[in-house]
Amino acid sequence: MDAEAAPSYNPGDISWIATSMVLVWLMVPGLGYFYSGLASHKNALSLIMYVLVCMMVASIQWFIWGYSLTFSLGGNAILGNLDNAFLRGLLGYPSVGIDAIPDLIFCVYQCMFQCVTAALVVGAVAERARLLPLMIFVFVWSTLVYNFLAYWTWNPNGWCFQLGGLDFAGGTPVHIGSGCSALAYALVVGKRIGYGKDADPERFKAHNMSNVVLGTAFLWFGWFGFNGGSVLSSNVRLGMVLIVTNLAAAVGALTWMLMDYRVERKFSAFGFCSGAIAGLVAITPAAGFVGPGPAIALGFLGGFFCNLSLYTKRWLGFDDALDVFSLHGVGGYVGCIFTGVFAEQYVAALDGTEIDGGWMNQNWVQVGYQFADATAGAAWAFCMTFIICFIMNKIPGLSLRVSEEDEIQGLDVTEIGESAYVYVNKLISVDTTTGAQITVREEIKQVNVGEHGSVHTADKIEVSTPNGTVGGVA
Amino acid sequence: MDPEYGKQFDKGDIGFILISMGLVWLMIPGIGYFYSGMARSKNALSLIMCCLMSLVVVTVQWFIWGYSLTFSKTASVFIGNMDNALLRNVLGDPSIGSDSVPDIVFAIFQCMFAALTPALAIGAAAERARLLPMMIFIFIWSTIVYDPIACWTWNPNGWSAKLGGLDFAGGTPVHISSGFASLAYAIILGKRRGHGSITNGEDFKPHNMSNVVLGTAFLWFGWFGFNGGSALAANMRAAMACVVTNLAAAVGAITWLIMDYRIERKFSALGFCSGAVAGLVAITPASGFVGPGPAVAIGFLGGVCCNLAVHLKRLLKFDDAVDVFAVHGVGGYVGSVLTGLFAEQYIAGLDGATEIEGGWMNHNWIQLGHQLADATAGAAWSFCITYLILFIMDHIPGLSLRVDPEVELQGLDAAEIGEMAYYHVDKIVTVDPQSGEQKIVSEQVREVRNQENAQGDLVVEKVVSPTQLHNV
Repeated sequence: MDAEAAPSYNPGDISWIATSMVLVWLMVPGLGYFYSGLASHKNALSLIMYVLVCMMVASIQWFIWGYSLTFSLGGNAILGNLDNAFLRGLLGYPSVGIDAIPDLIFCVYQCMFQCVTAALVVGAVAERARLLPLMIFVFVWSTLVYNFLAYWTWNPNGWCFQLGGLDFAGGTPVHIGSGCSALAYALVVGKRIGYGKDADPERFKAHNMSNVVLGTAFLWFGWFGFNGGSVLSSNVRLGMVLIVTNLAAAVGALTWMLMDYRVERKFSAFGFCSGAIAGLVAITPAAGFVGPGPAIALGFLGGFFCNLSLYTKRWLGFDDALDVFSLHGVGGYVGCIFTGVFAEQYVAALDGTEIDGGWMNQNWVQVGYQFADATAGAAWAFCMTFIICFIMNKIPGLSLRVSEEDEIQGLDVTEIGESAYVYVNKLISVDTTTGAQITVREEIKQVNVGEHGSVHTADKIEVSTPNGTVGGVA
Repeated sequence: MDPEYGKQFDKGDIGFILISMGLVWLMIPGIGYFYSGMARSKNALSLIMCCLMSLVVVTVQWFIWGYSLTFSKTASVFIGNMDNALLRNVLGDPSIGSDSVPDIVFAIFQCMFAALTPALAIGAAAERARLLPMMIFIFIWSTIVYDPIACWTWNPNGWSAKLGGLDFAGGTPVHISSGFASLAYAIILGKRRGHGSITNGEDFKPHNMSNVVLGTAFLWFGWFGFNGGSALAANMRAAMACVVTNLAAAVGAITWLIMDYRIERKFSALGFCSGAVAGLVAITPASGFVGPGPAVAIGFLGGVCCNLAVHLKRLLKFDDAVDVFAVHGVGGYVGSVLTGLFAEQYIAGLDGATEIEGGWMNHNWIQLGHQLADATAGAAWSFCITYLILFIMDHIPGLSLRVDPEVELQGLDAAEIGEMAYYHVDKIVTVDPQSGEQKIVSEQVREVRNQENAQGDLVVEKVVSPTQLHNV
């Protein structure tokens, strides 16, 4: 590349987008902890690991042809071509998203979006999905679903971009895409054992709320990069984007908490976390187009509708284990439609972008475009994913669901071969006369891998019996 | 809109301040985990949630009138006005804090400071305060305590700024105010049941030191945005602020570690964490005014004074559950006073624009008086007004501050939140002394069942069945 002809970039812009990439990266482990804490303890490690594995596969797919299919400039209205496969031709030229940053930075930033989306889908099939088919699913799904949706929304040749649909940070590709895909995956894989109307309530409770809150903190923190980095530059509009992001999250959390308080008279931490995420999902398509007042409305509407949509799960009887469809599918759809209502020209103009605005600018047709964008995305994601999962399920060796015994034992042990937690059970006898305590039996519940790779939990037993008596009776 | 509107700002400055905003945001879950780990396990989730609730309540309050009351450009010496309520006219004009960043960036950055302060203060109410009154308290307290004090310190019209009081990143508005507010909250609430008695001393240990360290990590990490970002530009002064922040934290941690080692011959993790935070609190008002050498002194003195201040709660017989007053109140006061001693003109001048008279290092002896005025006024206002707010709230039916004794025994997680942070199973097993055969007599899953009333029973005795153990 000729040194003199190379375009010069502002270090502030590049730094901000690089930072945003890191923030969005952090959302993936955040999602892992969120899901892990909500599941049962014997599947805890599997959920963190599944999420990280999805990130791994999605990153590689992005390098092979994901970036090219999404952001190459030689494609048609539906999909890109393979001009940039293996990231060929990607160096320092001004990026597809904005002139202010080079191709490479834009590429790695967008890679994180694909990673987050892939990781989100895992939630629906928690506690019963096999890992190897999941990895293959992520590769195929990224190509056939995410790349399409992202192309339509963000590539200047995409039909939705050309139509004028407003989607700032990816309500449709990321949230509607993952939510509806998760629904399809969950329907094909089926319900967990014991799930249903007469389910045992303790079986399906969160086992570690502390991890759920930790995951939510990482997600909220990372969302500043998710929405903020979508400005693709460091300017006044970025300030507005971050304000509305934070506001919508806070109001979403408050809304859901109060809705739950109405029902159970408690300030549910799960409600707080879900509400914050619902608010963040709803503001995602709108972040660069709305002001603070509408952000509060979006946070409220996101929290409200997502909370109500939780009841559809019970009503329709599908097992979306970790509410991916409710939070991301419904939340993304709600956010997308209301972006058409609340978008204002002055907000986009803060960095010089010109839009027609939404209902606040009397541009009534905008909601129509939003419906087109959101519905097409939802339909494509759901149908394509259903077809992928259905076909994979029929291929011998790629069946999506674990066997029944494995599901009862827990995926940590059967799929990963390690436990998140190691338990020690001690049996102590107390001598009734002296009060002396003797450890009769100590069990360390751990995982041993047998000769042929078979996994079984072993109990390491240590029995200490001073004076040869068990029980300490002298 | 004018296409040139807002174009005069340096992108690096905007980017750096917004990253700092994210860092200060992360301090709020950090303080949540810090407090949660120090409390007992039955209250663990409630402490994380209180801090996060502070975030959401203050975010909304900041939007409604908090920013306007603190930073409106035509404020009085005491408080702002409603010019910017609902964030009207907060966009691309140069901010009141610095010309380098636009209004809107400054607003969201300061929002995180405002959200962090009540999260600090409520630590003293740990394990015995009702959540709904706490949320209302946070809204009111932010409006009539935090906003005025922040206006005095950071609004150029404020009396303390005009006087020449030096407070870089908020020793007074954030730390002194939260520390003294927590003192008032602790005194009004009263001690936790069983606290202060010799036999129950063991019951009040931190239940999860891992979370305390995690919280400290988030706090220290975020403090780079707290102090560094207060330079409001990406320049040498911000860099120096980050350097002195790290130094003071490290020296504070070492100091407290050594002071505890002297007594118990152990390197206490809680001592490390408390010392690091004490050093960070002490350097906060000084971070844009002092060099590295004085930073070591400030970290050391902060650690010493806060360590000794922890004993105040025994001497004065109040129950500050997580030592908010000792670390933030006393640490902030000490830091403010030391700023008057160690401030140097050349450090403030690193951004090329700020001129100060300096402190004792520049022979400006009066600076200490300004610092004492600033710190004492903030402490007094915070303590008295907080006490007044809480006193009135306590007497309003429905807003009583303290939970019932049965709820306190059960733990706030079960009663106020309806979820536990962790699930425990207590098993009682008999062993036949001859055969060694074991029989499970009873199994208690400590959990929360759906209840019609707010205070249901917690411990549920059950006959053993395999499915019951799925979630344990």
